Amino acid sequence: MLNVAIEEAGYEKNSQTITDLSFSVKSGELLGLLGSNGAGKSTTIKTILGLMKEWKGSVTFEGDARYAYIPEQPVFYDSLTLWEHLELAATAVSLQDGDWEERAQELIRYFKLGHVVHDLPSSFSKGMKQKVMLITAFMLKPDLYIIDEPFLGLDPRATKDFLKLIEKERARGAGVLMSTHVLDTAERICDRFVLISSGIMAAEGTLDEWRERTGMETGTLLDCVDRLLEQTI
Amino acid sequence: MTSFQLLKKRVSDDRRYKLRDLRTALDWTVWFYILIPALIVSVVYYQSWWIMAPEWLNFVPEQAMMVPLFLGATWWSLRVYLEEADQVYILQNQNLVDGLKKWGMVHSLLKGSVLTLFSIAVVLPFLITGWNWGMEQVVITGIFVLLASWNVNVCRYFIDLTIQSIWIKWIPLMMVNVVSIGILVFVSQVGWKSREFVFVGVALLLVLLIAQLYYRIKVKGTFFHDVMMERGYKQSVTNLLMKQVGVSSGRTVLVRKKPFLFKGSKRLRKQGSPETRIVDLYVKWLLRSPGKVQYYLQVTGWGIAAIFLLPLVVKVIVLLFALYAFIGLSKADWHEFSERSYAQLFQWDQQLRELSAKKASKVFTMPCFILVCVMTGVAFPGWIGMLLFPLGGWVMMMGSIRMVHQDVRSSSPQ
Repeated sequence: MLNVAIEEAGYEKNSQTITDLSFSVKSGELLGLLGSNGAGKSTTIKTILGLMKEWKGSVTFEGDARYAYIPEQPVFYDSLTLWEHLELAATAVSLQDGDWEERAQELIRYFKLGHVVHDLPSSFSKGMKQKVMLITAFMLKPDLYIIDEPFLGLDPRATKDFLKLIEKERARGAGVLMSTHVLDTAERICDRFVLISSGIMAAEGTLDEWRERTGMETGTLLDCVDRLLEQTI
Repeated sequence: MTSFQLLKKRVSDDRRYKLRDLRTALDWTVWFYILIPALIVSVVYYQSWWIMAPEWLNFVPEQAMMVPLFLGATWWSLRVYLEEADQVYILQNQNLVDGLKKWGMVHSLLKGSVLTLFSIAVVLPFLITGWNWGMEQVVITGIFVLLASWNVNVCRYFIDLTIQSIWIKWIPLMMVNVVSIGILVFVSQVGWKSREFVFVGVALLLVLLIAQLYYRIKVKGTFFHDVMMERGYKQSVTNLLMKQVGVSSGRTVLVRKKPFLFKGSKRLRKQGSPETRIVDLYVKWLLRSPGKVQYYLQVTGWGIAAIFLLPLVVKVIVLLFALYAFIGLSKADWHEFSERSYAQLFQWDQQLRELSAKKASKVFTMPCFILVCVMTGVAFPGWIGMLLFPLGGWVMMMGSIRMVHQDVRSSSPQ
């Protein structure tokens, strides 16, 4: 579904933030993108989205795979309402009116935002804003979700609702690339992981493979990540 | 650090920030071709006005001069130089915060005085040479202009603080301005002759100013509002040069919950193609952003005024400039809309994006430019202008939009 082979990428010419990263996301798979602060996770995601100017390598979406991106910081138009944001997103990707409206209504109910559907999202709380990002993405029913730190600002109930939807989408065949710091949740839901450290790929594999590699048979994801990072240093 | 030292640092930071922005926009070509020639012409004209008043002054009533004088004298803001990080670092030190506010206000009032003096100096040749004002009349009017300028700007702060709606805010603001101009007209024509009126008037305005300033220091809970306003003042040059690009749209104290136009997310047109719907959303976004609409209105208004006032050949140049300005504004606005962070969350249908861009470029350009063309036709001698300019303008506009669309297509992200 998504094949990534980044040779180098950075915010300025001759100043690479990430180098030699390659991984893929298959249909129905949830790949966790892990790493400490400043490791290069967000740069990797921005490169995949085509937002970086200075980069070399290739990012390919198989077939006509469409993606939806859920950013770490919610982003909005100051003067469009929640519903108008959804209308813009659905129209821009050429969704049929009846289809997206029904899905949008359903998701708005699911995330309990019915009372603010005609309000400006710039007036929402952090959690509500994040929910609008989730609704936008899930409404589009893309082939691939690219998610950057999805749990920030979400309350436990909303986090649970989000994870349920992710499972449903994976069952539909959608792939998910998720960057996160919340390792205990990642351990439960991700199929495979990519660990980035100082802009390079420190490890890639399943939790069992990492346990074997680190010699920690019963270790948690946190234990394995810790050990792998130590080995990298 | 004392509050005075803190103010000095903030004022110099503020000045550096604005100068940096100005330097970015005003390179040597702007100085060489526009600003220096404009300055030389202005000085020459100003000197000539001291010798002989311009002819057009015969058509301007004496009282009308109070309007530009008032506007010039009040072109400043009451600032307190607070920053967002102060809530963490200095808000606990009440003395320091109060001191900063006080010095900030003193600095603002001094700035107001300088601007008032400058405004009076600019209109002085008209008053002295044109309308034969005496020194006493000028000085007394000047004192009232200064007191009005101080009072009005403190009052404007309170209006901004208490009224959230930008539309409703205009009502008291207009009232304050009209009343002030009325007082100045009365003082300059009649009041200055009565010594009692002058003393009582000055005393009253001073008491009003002191009361307002005292309340300004005592009023609590204005920190976030002050920070928001300070951010606006600091970025005023950026905002002027780059529209709203330089203004942070972060969370502020007073956040509008519902849009003031087209409430309920209703579509502008019930039926329509996908590109029509995208353009409708673009129109809503733009119309709900008064700062953006203001630019179209300004170009239209100034364009029409210039066309009526300037000679024939220059009218055509103004017309061409207006077309260039409208298309430039439309292009920049569409770019801002379609490249916004939210629009990066999904993959656009490229064909739809191009069709929408083409339609969007006409939405505001067409009515504004055709209006300017019609007005040029009216200002043109004979009936032929009424036919020639709207028709020619239409053809030129469509051609220009086609060219711009080619450019948008080639530069849009794939």
